[in-house]
Amino acid sequence: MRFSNRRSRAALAAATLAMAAMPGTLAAQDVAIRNATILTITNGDIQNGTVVVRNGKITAVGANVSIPAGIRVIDGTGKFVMPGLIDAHSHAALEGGINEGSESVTPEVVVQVRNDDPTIYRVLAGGVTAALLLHGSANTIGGQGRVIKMRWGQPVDSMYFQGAFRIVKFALGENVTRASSTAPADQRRFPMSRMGVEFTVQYWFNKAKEYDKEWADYRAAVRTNPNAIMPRRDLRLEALSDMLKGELKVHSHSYRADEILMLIRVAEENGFRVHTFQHVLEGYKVADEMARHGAMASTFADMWAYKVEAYDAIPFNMALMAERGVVVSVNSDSPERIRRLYQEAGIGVRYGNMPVNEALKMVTLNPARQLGVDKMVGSLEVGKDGDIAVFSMHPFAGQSMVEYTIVDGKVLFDRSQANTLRKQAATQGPGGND
Amino acid sequence: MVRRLLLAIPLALPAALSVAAAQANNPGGPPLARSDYALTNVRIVTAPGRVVERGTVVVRDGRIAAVGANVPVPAGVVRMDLTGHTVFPGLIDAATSIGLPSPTRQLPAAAEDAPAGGRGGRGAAPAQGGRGQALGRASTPAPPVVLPELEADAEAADMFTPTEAELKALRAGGVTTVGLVFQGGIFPGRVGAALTGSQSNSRLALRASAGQEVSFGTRRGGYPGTGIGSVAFIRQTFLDAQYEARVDKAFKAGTPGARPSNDPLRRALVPAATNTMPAWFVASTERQLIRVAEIAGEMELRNPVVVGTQEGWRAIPALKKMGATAVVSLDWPSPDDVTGRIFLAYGDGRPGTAPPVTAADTAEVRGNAAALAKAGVPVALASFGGESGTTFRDRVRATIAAGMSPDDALRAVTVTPAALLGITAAVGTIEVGKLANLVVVTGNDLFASGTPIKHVFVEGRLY
Amino acid sequence: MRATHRLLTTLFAAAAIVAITARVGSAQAAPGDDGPYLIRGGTVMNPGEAPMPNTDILIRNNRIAAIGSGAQAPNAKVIDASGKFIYPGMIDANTGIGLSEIGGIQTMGLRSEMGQFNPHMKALVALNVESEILGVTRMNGVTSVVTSPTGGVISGQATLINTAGWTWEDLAVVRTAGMMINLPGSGGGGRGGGRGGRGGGGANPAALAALQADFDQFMTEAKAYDAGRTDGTAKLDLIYEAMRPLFKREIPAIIPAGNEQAIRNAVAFGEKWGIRVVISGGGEAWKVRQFLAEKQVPVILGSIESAPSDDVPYDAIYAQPGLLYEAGVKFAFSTGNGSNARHVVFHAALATAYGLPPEGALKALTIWPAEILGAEKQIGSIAQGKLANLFITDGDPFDLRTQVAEVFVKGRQVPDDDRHHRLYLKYKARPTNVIVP
Repeated sequence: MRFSNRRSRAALAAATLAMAAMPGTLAAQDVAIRNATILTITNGDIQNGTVVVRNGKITAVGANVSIPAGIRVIDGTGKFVMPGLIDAHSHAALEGGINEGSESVTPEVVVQVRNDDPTIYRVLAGGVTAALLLHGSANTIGGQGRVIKMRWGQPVDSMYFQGAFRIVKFALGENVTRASSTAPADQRRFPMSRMGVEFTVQYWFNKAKEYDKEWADYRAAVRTNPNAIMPRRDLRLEALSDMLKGELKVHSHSYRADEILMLIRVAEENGFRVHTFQHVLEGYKVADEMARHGAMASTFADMWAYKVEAYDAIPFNMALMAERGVVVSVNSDSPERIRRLYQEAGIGVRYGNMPVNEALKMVTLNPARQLGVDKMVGSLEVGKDGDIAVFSMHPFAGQSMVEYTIVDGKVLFDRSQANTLRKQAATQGPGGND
Repeated sequence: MVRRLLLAIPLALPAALSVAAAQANNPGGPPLARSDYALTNVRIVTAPGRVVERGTVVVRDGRIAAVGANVPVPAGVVRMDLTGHTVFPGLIDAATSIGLPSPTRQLPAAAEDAPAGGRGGRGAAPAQGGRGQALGRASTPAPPVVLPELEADAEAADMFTPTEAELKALRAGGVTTVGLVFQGGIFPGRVGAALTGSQSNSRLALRASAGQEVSFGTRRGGYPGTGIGSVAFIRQTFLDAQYEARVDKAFKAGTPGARPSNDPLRRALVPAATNTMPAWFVASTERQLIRVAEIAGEMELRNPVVVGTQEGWRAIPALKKMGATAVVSLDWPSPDDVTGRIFLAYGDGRPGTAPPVTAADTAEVRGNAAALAKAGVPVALASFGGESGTTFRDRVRATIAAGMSPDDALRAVTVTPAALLGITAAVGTIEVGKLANLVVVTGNDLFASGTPIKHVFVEGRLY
Repeated sequence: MRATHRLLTTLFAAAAIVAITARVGSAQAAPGDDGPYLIRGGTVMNPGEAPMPNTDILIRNNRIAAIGSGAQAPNAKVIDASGKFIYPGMIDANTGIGLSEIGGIQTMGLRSEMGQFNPHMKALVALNVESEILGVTRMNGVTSVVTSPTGGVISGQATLINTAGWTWEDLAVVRTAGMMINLPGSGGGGRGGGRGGRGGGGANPAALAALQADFDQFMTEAKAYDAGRTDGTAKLDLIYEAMRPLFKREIPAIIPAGNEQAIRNAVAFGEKWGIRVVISGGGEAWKVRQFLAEKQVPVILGSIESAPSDDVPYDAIYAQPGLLYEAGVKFAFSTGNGSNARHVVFHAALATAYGLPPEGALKALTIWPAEILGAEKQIGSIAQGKLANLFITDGDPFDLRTQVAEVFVKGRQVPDDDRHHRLYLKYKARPTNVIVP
């Protein structure tokens, strides 16, 4: 990925421009957008409205709002303002691998964020301000993900979204029953069937309970016996124990109705909750069961037939699950779709005729709930973070595009300043014979 | 030059003790000549910031017998008039992998018949070779045997087998002592220290178990198979070693029911996990350094060492928080490769217009050690990852040019690495009783451009 | 991510059995009743024309029998389109529909024959009319698609089909719409805006030179054969015979070409052999847009739903169609895959956001692909005598909020019982809370 010294270097002017674009030099965390249509998500749409952000937080939203003197003002005439989009399933900006697929159960593993992945900029250019970066789906109980804000160029730990849930990735079905990617093909790894996946989950949660008991016994014993030996700490079983306690939220990759229902029942038998089903392409078949269990859903807008377990995927999935009370988000799982996540949400209107605001929730408030950040982001309300996307038109209009993306009151994407194909083409002639 | 000098001094007859020592270390070889020396009329930098403007250093039996302004020259030593020269403590390259096998380096084909596990691999690294063999098809040659990633009690000091040419190159750069750190693996072994004299003259190993190396590698065909898995595996393994220590203590105290696992990996890691041996984490970039700080904090490791640091200035809070000593790599990254720079090129999709590397960018990269020293992070300089030897002094010079004070730089190649490697009793300063590891240069400045090294002594032997 | 892609494409063979089982018993609904139909009072939106409000369309015998006002047809089924908009059916100019059902399964994903030179392979004759993808594709107004073979140097004959019909003959609009040719070493069409691709880009130079020599020989012999057949001296050869329409300029060569040089090479190839060329993919077509306009070489764009490589502007893929349009290059949109062919309208929508006028996008979805592939007399606009391929909406089809009300393919009103609607309606009607564990 990294470029070499040999790559052409342009004028100093380019460097100066680039430095100016670094977020560190954008000191102001105050910004206002005035005279725009505000899609608050939670309090309706406001015509000719204004949003004010001070010190990174929204301080005012409404039609009759005065803008403090001296802060940057974006003229929103004709534009649409909505909360920064949130992607509940991405693998962008990670390093060190996304699949510790050498074993079937590895919840002690945590993904590693790469704070200078250029994809982050392109994500911002699509209006996305936060994402859940997940472990891959190579194993039944995979690793822990990270919720980040797209504060690009900042030290890696300052990209972590403080206060977000700890989230672990499960995976069911075809991916996890294949031989692992790191093991030779002739050395199959258990499980190799959906039946084995169910047993794997049961087996490991039983181990986690034994582990919890071992520690409870120790804590009891040490009161009377100072020589009691503190048990071995096992990060894998601790993670499973945290799932049982609800401190580590389970997000499970899933496709078919049978495996969705299976995990719901296994969770109920073992006393934990499947917090969110990821992909959940046949969620519409068991939406009532999901709703009753309290599981949320994060799905593709419309992806099907790319493998057998995706053959019953339908674009009405979002609408059907939402109708039955499931909190639904639409995710990207791709560095391509994350650039146009708003369009993916709009597909929920095209197929299934979801109410427009419900569809917008699928990329704002609903993923915020799934990531545990809905108190901070996901709608335009006073007190929430100044994470905002400014669109040229309604985000579901065909000709709409993102003009500004703001994180914590900082403008991290500004279309007028960005290098665009048109700007580049203007410097390179008409493209004829030369 | 050195050789010529030796031939020119017929008085350089061996002391009986020296011959005996040499023979002891090289029992099959012929006795070698050895001499004692007095460096006179020389400016002496005994330690960073401590100078004797004109004095004498007496070298006897490989050690410094006397040093000071008014030191008599005993009979029977070679008097070297070094007017206009300065003698410094021999330099220490705090971390190099020269002369060491590597867990990531494949052995030559001749080693294919070696047993699985390579260099005496044992239970801690199960079936590495076996897994590798299974990958091969009958029609193709078996893949080369590779060394284990997990052999925490492997001693770099025991495995240090440089070529004479490598040693000569080190000495030519004024490097008389090296820290030995493996490249690759996860728990590849322990850090050691060695001298850079000729192997035929003395045993080079100076110290074993100077530190426990931890590197974020992966296992071939098993867990951990990724960088993210490696972090988890390292954390778990430290916890296991701490548990082993608890159980072992209870076992030795006779507590009923206590039974240590006696897993060799756990046992080998007990000293590092319980802060009786420093952990040396191989970490170069901003994100790796932050990762180490997280692990060190979680495992309550005191004063860990980060070795190979290239972007330390980007992670100063993390380094200070964990109380780390930074073994800074003098193998600078390209300014283009530094974390964050990629945004300047591609951050807003600016094709083909990576901003030119400016003098400031270069200074930032080369000023890594200076920035750390200024921030109060203890710094040792090392060639780790790059080549040592003749370029070592040039790189230290560039580090000074990038803002490190000459005294700080000298400290970073003498007393700090000596302390870090636990060899202060032997090297790092010019003091009576220490090994006579000396560098003599023309003029006053060890690191000045164009200053030739006049003489190098390793353990009293003139090269 | 690349890893994900690998996962998707390396499904093991056992899965194929499952898939085939799954397909059994899920035959598609009939393509729809033959009519006649009278669509009353809608606004007709033809590419390059002003909207025609309050217009009636009479459909009979698969075709548009009349357009105007006050049409009377006593036997016709009347569809009230007042307040609605009627667009010509959209065309996805590159898919694998009918050849490939589930990409991850070898036996259901075959678009390639063995060997390098396969001009005699015809996509049309292998089309599975029961492919579930056909029904799913038309539900969003995509009434025609190109299905193309892949692989080798000359992959075979692409066909232009409708998305509803009883047999592959019934589906066909243009039986052979173009010859798919991967020039050796071209690196393929690449993703839009990028330089990557397939087609021997990474092959070693010696192998590439050998392949190029084989290809030159093949072309030379095919050209000689064409002359020999014209003057009646050559014996019939089924393989070289398949090349003749190219030399007669009856069909174009469709050549994947991503970067600027590959595009220029493809154009030069056409000039050398006297054949028409259509660029496929065309990631860097914008760099040679005036050149392409002057040469009148059209482009079938690769998927707009692609991530650009790191070294091009972030909007490169979205913005390219606008630049081509302004330069006068004729182009079509394509999804390239099949199962998401109905998204082609959203591909076009993205292009309109970044500078392509909506009327240009409509052309590139309808009349232009028809012209590029020799079907402009059959489809591409709503005109008397053309096949009645059209869809009715309540608004701008590029707007995600717009609902598609009706779809007509070859004069048949297609029912909403494609695989997705079937499952939708089944589970929408599932009684709530009946399951008590």
